[in-house]
Amino acid sequence: MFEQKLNEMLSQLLAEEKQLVQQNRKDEAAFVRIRSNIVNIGKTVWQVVVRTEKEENRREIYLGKMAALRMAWQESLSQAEKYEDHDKVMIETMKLSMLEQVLRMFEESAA
Amino acid sequence: MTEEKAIALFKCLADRSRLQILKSLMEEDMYVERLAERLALTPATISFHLRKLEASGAVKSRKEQYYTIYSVEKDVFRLNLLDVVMEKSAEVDEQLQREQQYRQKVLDTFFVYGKLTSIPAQRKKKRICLEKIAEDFEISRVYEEKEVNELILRYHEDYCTIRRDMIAEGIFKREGTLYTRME
Repeated sequence: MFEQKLNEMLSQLLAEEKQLVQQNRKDEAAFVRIRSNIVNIGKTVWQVVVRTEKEENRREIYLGKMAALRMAWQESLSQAEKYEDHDKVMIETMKLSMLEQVLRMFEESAA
Repeated sequence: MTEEKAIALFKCLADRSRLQILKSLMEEDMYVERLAERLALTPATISFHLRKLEASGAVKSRKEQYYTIYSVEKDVFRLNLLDVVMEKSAEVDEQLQREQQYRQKVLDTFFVYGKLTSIPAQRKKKRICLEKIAEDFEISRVYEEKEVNELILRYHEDYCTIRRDMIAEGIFKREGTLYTRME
């Protein structure tokens, strides 16, 4: 169920990216690609957890791994803010926001 | 405008959203949120584009109370494209140097002790060799065919082919039996 939702989101993002490229909005298309990458990361991590962990442990392990990613990206965001690297701030914020979206989807699928 | 600046500007303009921003700013100066509303983009995306536009010199900003107001740097758009293209490139000297090196390599290959060993088949190389031989002729002076043949003979025995090739390449102009080296 969760994986299916992620796949639907990936299809939507792919279509959006394609449309932006066709409209000559390549930077915005690159942002959509970044969001797709985050969804892909969420999907890959989940697939690994499903393959390697017992069902009763999966939720906790998945959330733990995603929390580790969140922490790394938050650190990256802090660094970017410190050095006023505005483009990086934008990208890291986007990554974190997408990660939260993936996690919301995960919780909704579990409910 | 330097070549680097021109490249940065053209790259920056090759984006529909940035062009839309510029079009809006041509109507009036605006702040990020207003542009975001108008163009249905997020303020973060608008800010990203404005940073690029500002870095390329296409827009400028000023502070007004709590807002940063953006406006088009109109002087940049008054530039004549032809002027940009005609501007001397820093690469020109390097290009000339590379051409000179190539030319010398061709001459070293085809001239041995001042004689042309063979007439190059490749047009570019042949042209370089013909120009070298033509250096013995004064520009604009009129030469008799016999004089031309003798001067070419110093380099190669097939003076007829070389003479004809020089005319074909526009190095010589022929009027009857009289030849003039062109500039």
